[in-house]
Amino acid sequence: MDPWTFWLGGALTLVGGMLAVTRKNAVASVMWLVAAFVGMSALFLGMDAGFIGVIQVLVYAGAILILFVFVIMLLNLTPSGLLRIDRPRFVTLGLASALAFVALIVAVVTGGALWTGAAGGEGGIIRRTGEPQLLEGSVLAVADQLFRHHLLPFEIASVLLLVAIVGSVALTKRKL
Amino acid sequence: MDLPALGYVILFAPLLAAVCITLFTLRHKAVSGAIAVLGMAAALGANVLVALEVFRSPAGFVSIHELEWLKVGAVTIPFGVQLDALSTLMALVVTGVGLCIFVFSLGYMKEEEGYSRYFACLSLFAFSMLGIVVSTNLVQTFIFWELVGVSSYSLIGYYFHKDSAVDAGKKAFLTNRIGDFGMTWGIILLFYTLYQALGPDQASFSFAKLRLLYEDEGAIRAVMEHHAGTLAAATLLIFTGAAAKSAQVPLHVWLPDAMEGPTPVSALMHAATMVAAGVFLVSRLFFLFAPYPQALAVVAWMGGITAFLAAALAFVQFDIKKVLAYSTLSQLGYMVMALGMGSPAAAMFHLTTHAFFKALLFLGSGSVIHGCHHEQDMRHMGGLAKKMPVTFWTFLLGTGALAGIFPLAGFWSKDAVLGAAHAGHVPGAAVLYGMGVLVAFMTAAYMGRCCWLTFAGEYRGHAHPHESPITMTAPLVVLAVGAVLGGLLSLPAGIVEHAGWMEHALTGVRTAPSWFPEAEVEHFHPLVAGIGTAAAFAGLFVAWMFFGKRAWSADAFVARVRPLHTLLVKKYYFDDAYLWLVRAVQQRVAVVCDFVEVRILRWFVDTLAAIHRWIGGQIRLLLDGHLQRYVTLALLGVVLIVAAVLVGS
Amino acid sequence: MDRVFGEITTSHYVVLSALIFAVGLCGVVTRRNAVVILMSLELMLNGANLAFVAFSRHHANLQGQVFVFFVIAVAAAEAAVALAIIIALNRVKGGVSIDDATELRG
Repeated sequence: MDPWTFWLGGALTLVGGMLAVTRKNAVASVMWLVAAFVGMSALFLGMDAGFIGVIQVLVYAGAILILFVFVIMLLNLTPSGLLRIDRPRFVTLGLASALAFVALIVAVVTGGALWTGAAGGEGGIIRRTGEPQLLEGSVLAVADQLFRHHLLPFEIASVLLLVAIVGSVALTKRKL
Repeated sequence: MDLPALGYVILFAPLLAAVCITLFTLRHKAVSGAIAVLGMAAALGANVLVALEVFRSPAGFVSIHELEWLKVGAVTIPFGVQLDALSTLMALVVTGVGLCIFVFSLGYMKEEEGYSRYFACLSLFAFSMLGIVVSTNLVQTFIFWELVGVSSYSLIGYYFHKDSAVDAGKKAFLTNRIGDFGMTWGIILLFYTLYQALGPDQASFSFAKLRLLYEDEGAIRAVMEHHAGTLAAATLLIFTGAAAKSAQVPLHVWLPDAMEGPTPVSALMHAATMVAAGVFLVSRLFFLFAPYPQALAVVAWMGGITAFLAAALAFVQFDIKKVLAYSTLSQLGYMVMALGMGSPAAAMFHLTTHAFFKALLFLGSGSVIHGCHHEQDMRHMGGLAKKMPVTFWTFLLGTGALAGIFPLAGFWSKDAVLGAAHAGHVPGAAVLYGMGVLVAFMTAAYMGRCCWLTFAGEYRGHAHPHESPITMTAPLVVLAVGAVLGGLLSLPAGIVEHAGWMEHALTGVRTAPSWFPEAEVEHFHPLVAGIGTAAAFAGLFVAWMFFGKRAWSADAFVARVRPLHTLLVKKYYFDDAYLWLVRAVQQRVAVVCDFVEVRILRWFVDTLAAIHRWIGGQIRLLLDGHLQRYVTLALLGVVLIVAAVLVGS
Repeated sequence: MDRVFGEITTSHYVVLSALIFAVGLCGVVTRRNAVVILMSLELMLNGANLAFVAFSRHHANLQGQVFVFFVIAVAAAEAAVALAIIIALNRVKGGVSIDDATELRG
């Protein structure tokens, strides 16, 4: 695996995500989110998950975020305040919890080294893998999985999308 | 159709009618009445088919169909129908007399509010009673027993805008509850004792299995070696339930008050159904009593005392329905006495004939009341014989049957009861027989008084009496036929040698174990019959002298026995005694309980509730509807859980 | 240091996914604009997706990728419905501030 893909893709995703979350202007948020999703797609491709990488760009960046842009334009939003200052205690609590969450995950993957102080331990839930197993995430392989073993969930997902479409129409229509 | 299916038809046809009326036709009077009558007619039809089958079979025939209803460990409680001579005969009485009363109600209740409600309740009541009759086990019986209590409550309190009717309903219900309480414990104790003594295989709630158990005299005596006390207690406790339903002294107080219900209800409850349930239950469970002469003595004496005390009370009543009510009490005493004397067959025979002529008398009185525009006081009647001829003649036949005049139905059954008493072995049987004869005399006398006051002489009221419509007189005529011919059900063997299939109708109801020396009722006792008839004619003569010829003055007689008269008017102070018991004892206990509950328990509970309300109020502040606050709290929870898992591992 | 900047392992991806998830979470908790909150939510979903694919590769099992496919499908449905709700909210309350929608009160 190419380390550069990880570092660059990861940096793009993280920075893009941070900027998207902190922009006052919603349209700017969407644009940065697109950047983050492109970085995410690079990460997927780096993990030989070609199919997922492609639909990440096609569906997420191409369809869902365009929907966001449409809605933002429809609503004619004014730029909104960045942080809520009316309830600082809760914002602090939320941010602290998010940090604690990251810390916990890091503790888990590093075999509890950060947590227990036992440096260099090889324990933990996820051990370092010697040779990453090669996996061809081609469209063919994923399609095989999808249609051979998960056909029913696939069909249910299509029904779910249909329901969502009907539901959105019903929700936004002024008079039914 | 086979027998069990017909049995279920008998049971559920009235229920179906009740449900249909309640759900669909509350607003349509005529349809409701028709549905109720149809339901009852269907039950009667099925019943006749069953009777043809059962009574043609050899004696001892029984058809049981059971479904498993409840299973607790090794104990199974079934639900089903049991069709044998006893239940078929009883069901015939309920459905036959019941149908007459239903038809009579069509006319009698015409002007009343809640006509459909009346028929729904009546059908429900019939269903409950039939449930007792065809029941296969004690638990099923108990369920329907309670249903009878509930539906009778709704019928007695039918005129719920009248306080007296509501009170009467409550009184009936509460008095019955006393008996039911005893019965519950009796059933539990019986089962528990058998379970302890014989194990789960033998112990049962089922009548058939219990009967089989008691059939083996050696086995049951062996159980009694160790559990004589508990078995006897269980038997007497079950009898408490029967005594309350059949209104035996001292649990009789509800029955006269129950006259507050519409007259057809009185007829149904006091002739064919509710009060008969107690006698029926003791007949059904007679094998329980068989090994205990003491228990039989208690039953016999209770019946004898009830018969006598109630007959005396009937003399001082002026309400025509009250006279009949006390007469019912007295006749029930007869039946219970026959049971105690060891002859369920005689008791069931008297129950059957009594159902016919007492229903006839009640419906006759209903017709009179209807004709006199809801006047019930006999002092405001008189001379109705000419104005209401059909009612008069049928009522007269009923009176004759009740008094025991040859050859009406009452003569034969009363003879059977007195014969059983004459041949009985309980302590003081001779005294009881004497009391029985005395009661026969009294019965004829008070019924004579009732007849002369109502139908003879000049009209003393202010209304314009008229004969009742055909829907009311037709059932009277049908019942009168029953009252005349009912004796054919069981003509004693001394009169006819071969009575055909009907022979089984009563010999078949012998529910005593085969080792038990059941009193002979099939044989005619000329002496007993002669004394009984003489007593009846003496009673009628006395009544005629007082109220017909007016040669003797009732007022003067009353003046001479003033204290006795007061005692009777006050109904032996039973009601006052109960009232005192409630006021002086129960009320004080209640005050203490109230204090404990309100001051101590409620304080405790309130404090507990206040603490939780405070905690809830504090937590409620967190959940103010801001989604982000919810998310934050959920996140915090996740972090804490993961941390806890990590620390734990 | 060598462990962090040397060979890229599954652990790297998992930590990165946790970071992305946390960034999205911060947005959900702190922002007031419902549309931005929804976008942050999408970011969180992507963090989870990354972990799925990483584990899928780790275990040489394509089911993780199939799961991501379904997550994306559900996310599309969710976004459609949520945006419809936001439009309805805007119509009723005259704005898309999350503080306006506090009917879910305990």
